[in-house]
Amino acid sequence: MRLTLGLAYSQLKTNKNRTFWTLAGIVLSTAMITAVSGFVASADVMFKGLVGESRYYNSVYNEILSGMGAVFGSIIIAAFVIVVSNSFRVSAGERIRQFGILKSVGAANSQIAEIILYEGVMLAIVAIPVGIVLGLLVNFFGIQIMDNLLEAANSRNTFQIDFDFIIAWQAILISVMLSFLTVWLSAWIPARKASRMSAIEAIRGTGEVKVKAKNVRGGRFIGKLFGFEGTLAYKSLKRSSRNFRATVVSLTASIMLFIVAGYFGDQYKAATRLYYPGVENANVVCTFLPPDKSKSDSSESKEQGIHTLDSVLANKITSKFLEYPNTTVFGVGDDVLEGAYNSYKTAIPKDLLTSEMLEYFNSNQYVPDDNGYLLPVTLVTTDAENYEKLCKLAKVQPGSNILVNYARIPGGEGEGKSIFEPFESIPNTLSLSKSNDSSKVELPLDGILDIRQVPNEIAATYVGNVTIIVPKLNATRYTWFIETKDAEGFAKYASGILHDSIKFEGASRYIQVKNMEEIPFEVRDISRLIMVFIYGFITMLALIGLTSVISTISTNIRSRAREFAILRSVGITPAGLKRMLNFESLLCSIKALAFGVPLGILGSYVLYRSFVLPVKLDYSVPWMPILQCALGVIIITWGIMRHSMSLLEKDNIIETIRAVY
Amino acid sequence: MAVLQAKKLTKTYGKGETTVTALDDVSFSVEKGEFVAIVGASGSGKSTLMHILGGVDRPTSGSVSISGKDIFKLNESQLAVFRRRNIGIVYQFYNLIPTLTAEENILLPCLLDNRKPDIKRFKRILETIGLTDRAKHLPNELSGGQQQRVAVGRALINDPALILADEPTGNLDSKSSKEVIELLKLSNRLYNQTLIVITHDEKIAKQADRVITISDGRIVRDEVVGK
Repeated sequence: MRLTLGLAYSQLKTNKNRTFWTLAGIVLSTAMITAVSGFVASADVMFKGLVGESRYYNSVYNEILSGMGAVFGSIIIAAFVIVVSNSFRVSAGERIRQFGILKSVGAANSQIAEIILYEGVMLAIVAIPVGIVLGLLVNFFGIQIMDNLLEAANSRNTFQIDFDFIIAWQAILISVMLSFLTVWLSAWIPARKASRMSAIEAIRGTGEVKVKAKNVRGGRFIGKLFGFEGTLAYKSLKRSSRNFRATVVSLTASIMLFIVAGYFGDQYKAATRLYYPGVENANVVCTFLPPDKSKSDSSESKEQGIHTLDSVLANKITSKFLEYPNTTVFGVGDDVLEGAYNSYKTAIPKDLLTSEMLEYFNSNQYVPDDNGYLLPVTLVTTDAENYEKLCKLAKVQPGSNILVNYARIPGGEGEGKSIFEPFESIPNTLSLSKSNDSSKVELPLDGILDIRQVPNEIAATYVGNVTIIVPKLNATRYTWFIETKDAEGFAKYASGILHDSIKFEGASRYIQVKNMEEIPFEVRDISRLIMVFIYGFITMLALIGLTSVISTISTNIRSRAREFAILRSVGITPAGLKRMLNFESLLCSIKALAFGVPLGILGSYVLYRSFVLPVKLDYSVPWMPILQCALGVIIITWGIMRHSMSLLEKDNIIETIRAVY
Repeated sequence: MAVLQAKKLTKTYGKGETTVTALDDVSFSVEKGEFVAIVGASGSGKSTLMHILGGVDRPTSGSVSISGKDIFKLNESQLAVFRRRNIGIVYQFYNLIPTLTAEENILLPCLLDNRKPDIKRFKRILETIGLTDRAKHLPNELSGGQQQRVAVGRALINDPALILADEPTGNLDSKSSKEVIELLKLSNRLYNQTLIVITHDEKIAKQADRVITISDGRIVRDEVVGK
């Protein structure tokens, strides 16, 4: 065996921890590239088979899937490069001394570089095939699951959606090449650096790890808070920041990627929510709805008129529903008559409307009269509890009327629908005129709910051009969305209550109770499927980041074994050492968060600017992923430091002090 | 009264056929203020002995009591606390914390004990080791001799019952060696500090009050050197 190969192999064997986690990182990254390209290939085939049958789904999902492929692909490769190159940098740094000695006995620069590159090649040879197989497995099972979920939908629809598992050799080739290139590049950078260092510089170790005589401020404050061990940690972090750089870099990269991916997930979810307002969590839906005229005897309906449900009775029913254990209820009703025939109309002057709304009116040849556009008005009411919540959200007193600034209108051919805020500003009062006679009502407007504040339950029921939430209403339609533990039991219970409470002739024809758990998978739930994949992706990404963090932290702790042994020999207690490490991990996390969070926000903004979802939304900072990330990072760093340390604690102090030399 | 009492210390490494006995039934005691040199060939067991005396290694059997306290009856944390209060160790390779300044390294045992350092004592030690003007420097900015003097300062700061020095001059040039030994002797005289030095340098051994010679894990000679 060549000497350089042997040295590379021995390094992999010595630092088993790093080798393992680097391998894991390469395997996971390769697997993800393979899986994503596999999914894109399958989706492509699926869409090609679908074109012409449903241009609507085609346009929406093709855009989303191909966009997702591009975004995810680049995020994975970025994560991959950062993780693997960091690991190589640490590994090379650890052996700077060894390289110096080799050089002093006559090793050429190219031979030093060769050692590191061989290391990369060996890791790649083992990890890439494993990663490809793992990726294909993920792909295969993912497609099985998707097809299972789609089966029910396919049985009811005129067109079929199936994903086929395809082993596309192009996809595999691309994965292999990308992975190998990444590993090679990651190994090459530190290899070049190490080979250029002069022998004596390397032996003295002055090249890589520099301790700076920084005047460290704030030590006294930290000392008071965290004891002397806190000060120790703080100083070591400040004065040998290079030692911690690898850890901070890998943490920062993980944080950034997590936030960007999390933002993408949230954005996608928000877009889907606006696009297909559905009450996902409701497993029972009860409705009060006038019976379909075409199915009933039309003369009878006309004679009897239409029965309504007033807010008082609706609220009584709601509170009875709430008596059922483990149940939440959202009740919402409106005054829309059958066939979207609204009770009221109002004229809205042009200058109150947004450009999107005006554009829609123009393209559909709506002509305003002197008072503006004459638009139908929908009055909406909710159950008392949720009405109070909405008042708080809109920052108005209970009893107020709240305008819902949300419009969902069909777009052009193949464009799907678009959602936007119709109102630029709101009038103090609206003058409503009854549709069937000319009597007028003045309705004061006290507050407004913007597009993001509108609850799903309201968006899902009905939203017209002008929608106003009022405290009380004689609703022509009323819907209760219920989330309960026992859907079957509740459905029976609710049916009983509804039939007992609503009493007029033929009332039972108005009442419907649907147990959503009995209703099979809907095509629109593909969006939910995509969510599952996005979160799966984020989880994988987090795992890749984790492998990098583990490998860098464990190397950092290992390389400081002697320092810890000295501290123990001068009398630091095991508890004191733990305190010091706790504080160190906290500081590392904070530092990484200080870099990673702004970078993540920046990245998510770039994503927002460059990747347009079918629904236009304003940019908002992804606080939720940031919070999850901050917590995760602190806990993970702490856990890994603790674990790496516990491995050292078993060692004999003296052997450690002597052995490292 | 004996500051240090070692009774029947035995230390073996490995198991079965490969057992190596580093220390074999070693007993001796050291009086307060004594300067003892332990000499022996490399591999004789003298370093093992010192580490056991310093409480950083545990014997297979036997006991060590320092100021009347059996140190191996203490648990890990108690032993650490005992070490920082009662034992000062000086190693061959200085073993300073690279991220702490000379001053901080010296004060380390004191600060770990969460005590306010005795500034007067610290100033005196700094003067004794001759590093008053280099106190704010990091170890990598100091020469080997200076680093070793910092290590001696660190051993002295808590006024320990016992200072153990393991080949303290093994890595130094002759001038620095002399300085470090003078320093140790000075502390012995000045503070009536009990001092145990491991060395194979005859010149150093000759300066001690008493020389213990170890061979194959046993004490083969224990003689008081008259001055």
